[in-house]
Amino acid sequence: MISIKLEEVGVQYGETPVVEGFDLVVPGGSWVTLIGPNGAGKTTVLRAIGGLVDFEGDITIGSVAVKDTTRKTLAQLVAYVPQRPVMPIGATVTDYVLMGRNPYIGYLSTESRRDIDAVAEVLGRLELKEFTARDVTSLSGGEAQRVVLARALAQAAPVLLLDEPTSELDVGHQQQVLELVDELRLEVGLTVLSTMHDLTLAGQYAQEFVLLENGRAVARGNAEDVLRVDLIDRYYGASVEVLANSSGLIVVPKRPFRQEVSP
Amino acid sequence: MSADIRPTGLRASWLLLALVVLAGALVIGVLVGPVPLKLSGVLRELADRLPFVQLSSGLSEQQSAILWQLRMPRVALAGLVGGMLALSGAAYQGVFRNPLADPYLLGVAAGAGLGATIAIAYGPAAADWPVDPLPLAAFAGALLGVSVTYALGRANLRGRTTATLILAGVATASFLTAIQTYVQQREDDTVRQVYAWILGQLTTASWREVVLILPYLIMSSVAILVHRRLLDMLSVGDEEASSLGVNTQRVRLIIVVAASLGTAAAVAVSGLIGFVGVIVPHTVRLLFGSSYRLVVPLSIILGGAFLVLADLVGRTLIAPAEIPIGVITAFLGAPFFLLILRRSGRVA
Repeated sequence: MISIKLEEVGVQYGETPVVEGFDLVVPGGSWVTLIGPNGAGKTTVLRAIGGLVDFEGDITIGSVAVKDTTRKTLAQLVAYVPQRPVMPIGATVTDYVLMGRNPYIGYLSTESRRDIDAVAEVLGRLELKEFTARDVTSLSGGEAQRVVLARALAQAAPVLLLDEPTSELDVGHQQQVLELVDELRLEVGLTVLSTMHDLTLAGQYAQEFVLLENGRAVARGNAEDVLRVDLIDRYYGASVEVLANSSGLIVVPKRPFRQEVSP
Repeated sequence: MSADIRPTGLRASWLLLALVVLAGALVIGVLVGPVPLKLSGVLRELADRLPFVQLSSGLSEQQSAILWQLRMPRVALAGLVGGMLALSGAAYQGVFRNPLADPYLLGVAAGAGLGATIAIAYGPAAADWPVDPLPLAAFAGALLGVSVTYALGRANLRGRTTATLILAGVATASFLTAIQTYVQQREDDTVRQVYAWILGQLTTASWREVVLILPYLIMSSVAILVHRRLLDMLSVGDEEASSLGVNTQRVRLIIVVAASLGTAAAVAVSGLIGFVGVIVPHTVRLLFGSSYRLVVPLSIILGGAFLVLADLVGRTLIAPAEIPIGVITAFLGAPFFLLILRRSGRVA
């Protein structure tokens, strides 16, 4: 199982620092979730790990330094599911999932039997067999999300980065996708790093949390350490109640206390 | 288990169909003209050229000369130029993820126009040179246009690419066209000559031009053909393609250079023929599908057929006068352009 390690990572977009002095260790086979208000730098952390943005500091995947490796090697190690994937016009589900095999296909060659078999297996596992010939732009939100996840799994990478994997889904599909990811994590030992807006869903699945604000980690630890009423009030400006169930914490928004104004 | 899983690709039947269309266009292009030639005569004449075959074609000496020195080089050149322009259009569309990208949007054509105008206006007479300076100047200008566009696009990008590069191309094209118009108007004794070239012409086609551009077209076509799978990868955008292991900048650079070299070579011998790069690849997409695995090869073949037929219309419609081929392609292309604009507007 492959771990992710970030040391003193900083990212700037132009002159603006988006992530600063960020440390993180995601142990192999675990699921860590980044939370924080909009613009806190969660997505940027994922992009840095995927080598999609220039960064300062060091990021290593297992024993491979992200800065010193090629795109192809990195794509064999890290699969990235963006928040709003681009669905190319005219590509079938098969074509799309096959893109996940690119890291194993020679620069100017085409897919082999092995790649096709790998795609077939992933499509079977995600129950997408009936969709193989469908145009990806014709899929519903839930189907599309599964297809994107299928492409990431076709990459056969030990590290999975999920950027808001449930934001476009209804509650049923949200659970389906997250359950599937967790099954795979337990089964194949995937290392999962995700960002999530929905704190309850986050609390049900991840083992460890990092709360970001303005590009810095302001709290980290297990659910009890991070999903706290005071932290959520301070960093999200939200009034919530935190309940517990057998699989984790449940964060419920509630109306803030307001003084009755007499007419 | 995986028998039912097949990626989109080029079907043999489609390839065959495209080749039949091309062959048909070439044959009609050779046969039709002010002096009609008979198919049987042309075939016998061709067979006669094969080693160890001695055949009397039945064509007169004059007909034979028309066939070999006028029709054949012209049809061959139209086919090559059409294939190249269609291929470049498809390649630019893939690389810039823009359905309207075309060799003409990126300053290639404008640069070539400027180069040719300068050669016509200021250059010494062609006879004084060992080679005609016109194609060479156009070639240099075309490369200048692409380079400026690419440099401007890169200087202003910062992570984002597609829109900036095309805006840079439009700006470059306008600027180069402005200089070109200035040169053209100042040297008014050569205005007519420049206009004739700008409008596109295959009238003076000879085997020399065919030989001149052939190596460029082959290099360019091969380079783009072998990248067709990666062109599909670019369709998910730079970020996702990168995360899937594609070195997007390198792929983009190689394809842009290959397409631009090929376009420059085509423009250098045939003048400015617009819209082929828009019409042909989009027709292929509508008929067969949008994977570059099929768009690239079919665009080359059908682009050749398209330009041969467009040239045929240009030289027969008001014969013995000729309509410049650029006028024909623009006449067909402009409405097509609007159609695509409407379609892509709906999708977005």
